Amino acid sequence: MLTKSHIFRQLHARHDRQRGALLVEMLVAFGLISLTLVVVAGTFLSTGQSSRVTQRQIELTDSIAFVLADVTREARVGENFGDGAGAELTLTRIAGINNQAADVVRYFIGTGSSANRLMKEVNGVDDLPITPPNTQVNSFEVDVDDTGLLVRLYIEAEHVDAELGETPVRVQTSVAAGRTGI
Amino acid sequence: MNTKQGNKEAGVVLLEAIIAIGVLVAMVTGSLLLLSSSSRSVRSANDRLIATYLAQDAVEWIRARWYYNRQFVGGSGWLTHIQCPTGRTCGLETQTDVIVPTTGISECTLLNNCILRQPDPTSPQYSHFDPVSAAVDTPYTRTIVVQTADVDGDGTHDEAEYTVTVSWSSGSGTDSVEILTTLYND
Repeated sequence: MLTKSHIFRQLHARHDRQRGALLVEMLVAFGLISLTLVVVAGTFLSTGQSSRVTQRQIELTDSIAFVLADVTREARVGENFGDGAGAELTLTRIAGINNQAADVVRYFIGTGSSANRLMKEVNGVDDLPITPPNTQVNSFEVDVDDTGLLVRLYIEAEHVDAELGETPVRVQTSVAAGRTGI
Repeated sequence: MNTKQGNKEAGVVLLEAIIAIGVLVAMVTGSLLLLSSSSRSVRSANDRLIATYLAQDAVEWIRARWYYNRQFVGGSGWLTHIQCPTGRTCGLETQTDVIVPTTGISECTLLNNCILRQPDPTSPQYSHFDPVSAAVDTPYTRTIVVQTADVDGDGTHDEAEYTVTVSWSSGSGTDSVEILTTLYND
């Protein structure tokens, strides 16, 4: 015969057992959560590192693409190319194209506070760096073909914050003078 | 009876916990994979930039030589030094002069199998040659295929289509860029 107190006792007993089970479950759950947190935190630490490398590569690629686009555009509407001692490019803008005058444009690697930056100068003045401070241009080599029809370019650059194992980007291309009909 | 029910419930909770952990692990792994693939795609974008400019390098040399031929060689000589035998794969050394190229366009067998060599300090440019016996191969290979046609039917070629392909080995197999250009002789 089930009395009131009997039921009460049984309920109490069940309650105690369940509380024990809950404690173990909680311990297991906390253990698993902390394990997951450790894994996630570790992951974030290493991806923070690799995303910085990725960011540097993007900045470097952007700077080089900008420089090559600018040099290509000037060479297309230029003539009388010169390569100095091989480390600069000079050209005269063909007068009349897009209402431009016969300006003399010169690309070279800067010195002093602009060291390792590629500079662009128009008519001997207005020399401005065309690479951002985060890009270190190691080498800018120019070779004007004997025919004057082709300019060979070679640029090696790296990010100023590059760490060990990050290789510099080496880009090479040529630009045919506009009068070749390109 | 109560004990049995309690055990069953504990079993269910454990199963739920295992499933939850499984889902968590899948999420973490998924985001990890996404991150590593994004950094891989940046690297591949860098390689692609270099490859595209290397392809342009060859196209511009061909263009300059074509202009020179039409100005100073003339007539049937319009493809001097920029011709490749039909069905063959050729290469071009762009670091030589347009007027007197060492080889011009010639078959890959004569040009280090069209593999571009690693720049070195004394001669940094990408080249098929090995001027200092110290250059090593780069991941880049540049090939040129030329198709000529006689459009007006007068028995001489008056159109040449150039396909410049730069391929390189990346993390997942071989990648390549291709530039097409067509030259005419009227």
